[in-house]
Amino acid sequence: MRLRGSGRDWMRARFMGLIAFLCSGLGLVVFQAYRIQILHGDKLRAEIQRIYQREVTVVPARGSVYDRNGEDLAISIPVDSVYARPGRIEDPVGTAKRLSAILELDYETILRKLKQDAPFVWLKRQVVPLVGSRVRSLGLPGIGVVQETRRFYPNLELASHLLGFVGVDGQGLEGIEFQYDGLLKGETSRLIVDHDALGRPLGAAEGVVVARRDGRNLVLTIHKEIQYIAEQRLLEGVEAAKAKGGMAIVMDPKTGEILAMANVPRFNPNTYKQYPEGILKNRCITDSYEPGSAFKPFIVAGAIEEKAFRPSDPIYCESGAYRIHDKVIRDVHRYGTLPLSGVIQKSSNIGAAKIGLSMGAEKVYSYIWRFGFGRPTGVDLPGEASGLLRPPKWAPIELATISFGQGVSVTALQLATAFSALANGGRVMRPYVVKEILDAQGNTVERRTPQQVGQAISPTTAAEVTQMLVSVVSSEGTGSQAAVEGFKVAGKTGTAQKPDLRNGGYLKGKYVASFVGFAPANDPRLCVLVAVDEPQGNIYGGQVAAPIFREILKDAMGILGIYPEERLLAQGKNGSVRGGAL
Amino acid sequence: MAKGIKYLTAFRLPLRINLVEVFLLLLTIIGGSVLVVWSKSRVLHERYALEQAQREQTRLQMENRALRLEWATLTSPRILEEAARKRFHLRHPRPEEVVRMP
Repeated sequence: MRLRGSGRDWMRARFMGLIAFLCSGLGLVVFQAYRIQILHGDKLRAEIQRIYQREVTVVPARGSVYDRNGEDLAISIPVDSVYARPGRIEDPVGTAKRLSAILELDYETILRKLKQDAPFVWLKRQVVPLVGSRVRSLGLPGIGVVQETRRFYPNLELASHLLGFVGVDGQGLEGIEFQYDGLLKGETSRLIVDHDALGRPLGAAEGVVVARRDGRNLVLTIHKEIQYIAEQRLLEGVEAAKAKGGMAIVMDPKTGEILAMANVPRFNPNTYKQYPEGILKNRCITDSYEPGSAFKPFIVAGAIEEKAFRPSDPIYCESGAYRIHDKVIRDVHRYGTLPLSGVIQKSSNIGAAKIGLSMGAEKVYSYIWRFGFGRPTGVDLPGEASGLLRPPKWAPIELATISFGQGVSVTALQLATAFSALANGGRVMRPYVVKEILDAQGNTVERRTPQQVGQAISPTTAAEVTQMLVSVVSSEGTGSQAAVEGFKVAGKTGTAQKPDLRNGGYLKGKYVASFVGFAPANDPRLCVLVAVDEPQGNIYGGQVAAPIFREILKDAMGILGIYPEERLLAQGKNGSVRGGAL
Repeated sequence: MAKGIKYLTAFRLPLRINLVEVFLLLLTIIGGSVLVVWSKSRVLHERYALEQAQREQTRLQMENRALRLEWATLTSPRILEEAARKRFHLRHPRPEEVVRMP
């Protein structure tokens, strides 16, 4: 059926009306969209962001510290901290009573905090998880529990002086934790997150790139087991000698990697506040002492390098007393004429003094400097001391005493580094403790490599001095107790009086007994230093420090899978000569 | 009134409207709208899921750290040596007791 006339017009009119209505509706929508999106767009967007978005601070996780084999030495995990908002507490007395039992804090102390005129106070930080959940379950108004991270040192005292520790706010205060604080702590970032009408989080807002950077992880050169052995043997030795303290360092002489660095007395970094401040120092790098006879090899090395002496050249040792102006230098035993090597083997002060005097101050100073004394080694640890090495305007007596290690002071690390140079063909390596830096996912960011910082002497001279040091550990030498069966050990004893810093001169009866050496002498793998501070009774390095050295070296060799030579073992069993005598 | 209608009908649509085309157009618009709403809803749903997964990841990371701490504590040389001495009555071997395998 077809519409005609007015009926058809009416249909068309209605249709046009409908279109006009839809168009006006559409126009309204377009206008409204324009008004919302463009006219008031910025204002409305800000309003919606205020309602549905909030800014959160992303605290990065502090990086872990591992030993060279990836074993955890320091790790951070989240723990609860309890706080109060005093203004919101309705019943301070009742709240304090209930909290004092859980937090194991004095009632009065808590009440005082709850009554403080402050918007926020910490009640107890970094509590165990059980305490946090009990406080939460109480639901006390104005009392809250928040998560923070706490640093843990799972091996307790192990390598504590090297690792250092962090404060309650997570800032590194000593050791590696301080030196690498910037890397370990990561970067705190702020992030815009969306949430829905019910306040449920929806993650990062659209278009926001999450750039959270957790702290870097550090892989140290330290070997956990060798560190433990060094600490234990040192502790036993210090206790046996009734000494005030001690230091031990184990290094790879070819690379400068520090495998262990031990100090006694020790402390537990998890509870560092319980210890006196003096104990927290890493004395291997912060304190310097007079090395005594352990210094002689460097003077002798200089003399050979300068071709002023040959190992077989005779030196008259004045039968135990040698006068320089009004001062008399003495040896422990009386010696007549000794070869240059004998001066080292018998540790003759007079012989060393004569060598130094014949070289002259400038040359002696030059070789001491070349071995790295008088300035920091550059180890990546904080607070390293330079030691004391005065410019070479020395009187003859000063030159003489410096030649046998008095009137000069060194850190234990400087001495270990210098001995490593003797073991390493004269090459002086920079000691270091951080081997690798990893990102939070374990990818390598930086890998540290050994750095040679100088060439103190030629490899030939180093080999000749090494032979002399091997003779020290023979049955005729002063360091026979350092011999390890099956190994050719090279080393030097040191027994030095402690200087009286207040009144000048030396402290009566106070010594530092030391032994430094390396093995196997023909292909050195380890350099070990042991220094015992103020031993009682027996004071000699050869008798106090050498046995500790032997125990550390023997166990460390075993840990590293460096086995004794059968040939040397057989000779040792025959009782003819032991270890270093060869 | 009649005059107004006459005035409106004076205009003629330039094209003949096909109802099927109109229907298809409407269907497309409605379908598109539903698709937009559905996709928005899916995005929201996925964001909830992602947020939950991230929370779970963080929780597991924390748990992993706590377990690592426990492992490191239990395997620390001091703890192991104490356990070896006290529980198993072990001691360090004397040099002559060490046998090296060729």
